[in-house]
Amino acid sequence: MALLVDAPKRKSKVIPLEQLREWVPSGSTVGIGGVHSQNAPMAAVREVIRAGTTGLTIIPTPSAGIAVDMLVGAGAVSTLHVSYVGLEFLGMAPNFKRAAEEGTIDIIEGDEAWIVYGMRAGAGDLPFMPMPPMYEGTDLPSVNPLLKRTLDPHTGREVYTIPPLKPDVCLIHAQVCDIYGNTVIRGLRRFEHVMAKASATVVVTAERVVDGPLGEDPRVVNIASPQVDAVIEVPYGAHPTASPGDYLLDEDHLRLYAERSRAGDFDGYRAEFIDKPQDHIAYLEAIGLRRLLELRHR
Amino acid sequence: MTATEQADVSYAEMMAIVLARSFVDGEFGAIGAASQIPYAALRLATLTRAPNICWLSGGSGGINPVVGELPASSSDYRNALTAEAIYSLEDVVDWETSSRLDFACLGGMQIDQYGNTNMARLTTPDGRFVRGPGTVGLVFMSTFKKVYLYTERHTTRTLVAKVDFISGAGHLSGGDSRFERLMRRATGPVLLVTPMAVFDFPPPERRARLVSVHPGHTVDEVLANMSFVPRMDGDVPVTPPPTDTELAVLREVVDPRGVLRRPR
Repeated sequence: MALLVDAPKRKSKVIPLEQLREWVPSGSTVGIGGVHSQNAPMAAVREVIRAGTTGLTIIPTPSAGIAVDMLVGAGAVSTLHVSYVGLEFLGMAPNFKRAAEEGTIDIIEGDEAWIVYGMRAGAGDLPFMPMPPMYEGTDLPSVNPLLKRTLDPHTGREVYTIPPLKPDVCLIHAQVCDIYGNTVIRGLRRFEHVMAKASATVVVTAERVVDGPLGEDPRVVNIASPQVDAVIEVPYGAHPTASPGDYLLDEDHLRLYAERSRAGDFDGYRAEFIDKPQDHIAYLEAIGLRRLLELRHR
Repeated sequence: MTATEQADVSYAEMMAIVLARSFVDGEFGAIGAASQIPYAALRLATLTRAPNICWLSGGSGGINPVVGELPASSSDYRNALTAEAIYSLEDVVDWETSSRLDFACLGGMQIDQYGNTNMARLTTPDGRFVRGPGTVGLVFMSTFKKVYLYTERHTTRTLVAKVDFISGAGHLSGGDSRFERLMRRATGPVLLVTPMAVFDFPPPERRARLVSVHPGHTVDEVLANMSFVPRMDGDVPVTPPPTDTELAVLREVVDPRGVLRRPR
């Protein structure tokens, strides 16, 4: 039997970057992908800042960097789950440090297990995640009242529990996806697929969005279409962090960001690299073709 | 090795060599982010004396990576490309939580006399609140079977009598206090390596003991730059200097670009 020529077509999930603001309203809880300076959804972060978004609760992957620091610097964040927020070999995250020390953001004092098990609980909609003896040796429970104790019904022992973490939306950067949201994150098999499961909606930014067969072994698709709500194509969308297999991190730009932020000139950085370039292409023009090509992975 | 080469050994090279001598062959361990010194130490150990060590390169999830230059970031995806296998963060955290990693190399912005570490928050002597990057994987000091501590800052601010906040559980208040709260199979810090010296944490007190002082440094200098007086058993020896083999493998194979020799 021939296929129906007038059958309805499968819907594309591609949206323009400018529409991201509708997916990340002020006051929402946002998951952010990436690990250190790899695969951070930077084009999305810059767009959220351009939109003037405020009052966000941020739950990043356990090793967060410039994406979170930039949102804090722009005043978009009210509450932050902290496992690690820093620039790794480039030192402290300057805007996060300042906001935390001045008390202008609320901090939920967590750690790697807090994020990973919290998101796992969120992914399965579990009531909580019970933990073996770990927190008993630390001061974390004294500053994080959400680390609550309960009785293990199997052993009768008191155990600490981590509550489910469930972002309203998560922002993930990928190397390639198709227009339906089948997503390939290359290089580091990290944590984004769990974050996606824990999140009510998922927005993927990708270096390349394919309208047609993805052409990949399905076993390397990290996040499948049913989980993805919107797809945005942004070449160099992780800059100044790295996009595995495409380009390396831009150490000079990360240093420039850190130095200007430390010197109290985040607003100047923001004007030059976020607000003045009104869209992603203009941002890439501000960075310059020569620099972008130098960063290509060899 | 000539006297010139010996005098030329950087503190980062010395620390990598001390750590490389300490690892136990056949064990399975992990390093964290921004970990060039333990990265170099593990490569050196596997190439010289402990070929059966397996190790996870922090954020990348890569097992036994062999990047030709020391990466500034352990989460550099080139670690993943040169590794034998890649584990996801979920896998790594399962191993950490279930106490199946033999060792980890960790640090902190404060390390105290019982090997407790702090990466989260502190208050300076003049009352200023200082935010650190966060506890991250230090929480697993409760479950790693043993921990090699290291810091590139041998200073009174880093080496303190008592941390302001326990991110990572060392020997808590010493003696058996750790084991009253945590699993006994996770034995806590065994070593602390700094740019000037090596310490261990012998029972029964499990308090830092000065084991040796690196060539070019003195006991007085070591003590003047820390905020507690460590245990000392008689005369403190000099850390054995690098052997020709250690230095050759470190400089020619592990770190040919001299990352550990650059000013840090």
